[in-house]
Amino acid sequence: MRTVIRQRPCDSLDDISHQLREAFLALRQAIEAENPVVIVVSAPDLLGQDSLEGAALATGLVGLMRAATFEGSGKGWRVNVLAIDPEAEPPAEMLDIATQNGSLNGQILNLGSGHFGKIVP
Amino acid sequence: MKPPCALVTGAAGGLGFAIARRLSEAGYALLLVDMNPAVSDVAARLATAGARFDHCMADLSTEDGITAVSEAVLATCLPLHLLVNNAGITRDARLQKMTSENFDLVIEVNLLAAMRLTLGLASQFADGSSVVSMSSRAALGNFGQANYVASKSGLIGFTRALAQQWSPRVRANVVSPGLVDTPMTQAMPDDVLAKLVQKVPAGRIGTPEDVANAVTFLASEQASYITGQVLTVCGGRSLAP
Repeated sequence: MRTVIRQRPCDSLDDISHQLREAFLALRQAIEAENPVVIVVSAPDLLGQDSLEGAALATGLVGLMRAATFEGSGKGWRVNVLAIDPEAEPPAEMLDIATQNGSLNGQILNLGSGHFGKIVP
Repeated sequence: MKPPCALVTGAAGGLGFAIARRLSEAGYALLLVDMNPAVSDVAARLATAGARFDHCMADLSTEDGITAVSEAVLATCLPLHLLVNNAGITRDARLQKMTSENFDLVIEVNLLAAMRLTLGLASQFADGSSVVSMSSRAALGNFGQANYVASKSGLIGFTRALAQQWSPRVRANVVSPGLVDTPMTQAMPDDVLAKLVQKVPAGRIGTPEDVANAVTFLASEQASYITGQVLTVCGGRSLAP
């Protein structure tokens, strides 16, 4: 079993709070169930190229992933971020890689070409 | 000639005071904001150093607080040349023991309040002005701080988007301090602190002035070609094993 947490379109501060809390609770539940987790974020939001709210949310979710792997990599917690086009569905093979490769943890897997030449946070 | 005006949130804390003092030395008039009444003591200490300042008590997690700050800016600090989003809190706990309430609170104070204030002051900024937001090296990951890490990482995303949307009128950057000598680190047991310092390649704990210098640089004309960036002030800790 794996848990997939997906960023939704976000256009308000309340929604940032709501989606981060939802992700935090889902992440905690997955860890308790010993499920690997993939957090799917919008690639343009990760680069700050779309809305202010979306950018804060996407990088907030990355922070959640980093906090979880920092705290739990030694206990076997596995959490990665997959950044994709907001209109796209996450490819199943990438979800497999993000959850089944034992040495891949705490990483951002960035699909698409928007990050070429850019700093990824 | 009227001095440029800087608004510093979280001004009653150790970092806030150091930032305010350094900005004052750099010639800024200051509007100091904090929900802690001790902000008036900070103002008094700065006054003895000859600073030009006003202060405002406000809870930035409320609309009333944002309104109070906006009114203070209109009354004393127009146009605004610099906003330093420095207010922040911690509510640490292991991820599995962290409450939803403490998760929400840290996101609200550290991330959403900074966004709300920045956006609420949008029309008050002078051309060529700057926003500097305080994140943390912990945004790269830290133990027992899922709420804090998410909030400080979110602030980086907000700043990167803000830099693109508000250019060229306003620049936006982030300072990410590492281990710094503040009341929080002073409260640590000596042996714990010593072990943390051992991991810092610079071989010492950072000072509030180290951080204040970074803020002042990013706000200055010398940094006029820098926007959307993160300046990590951690003595190399973010690189070392």
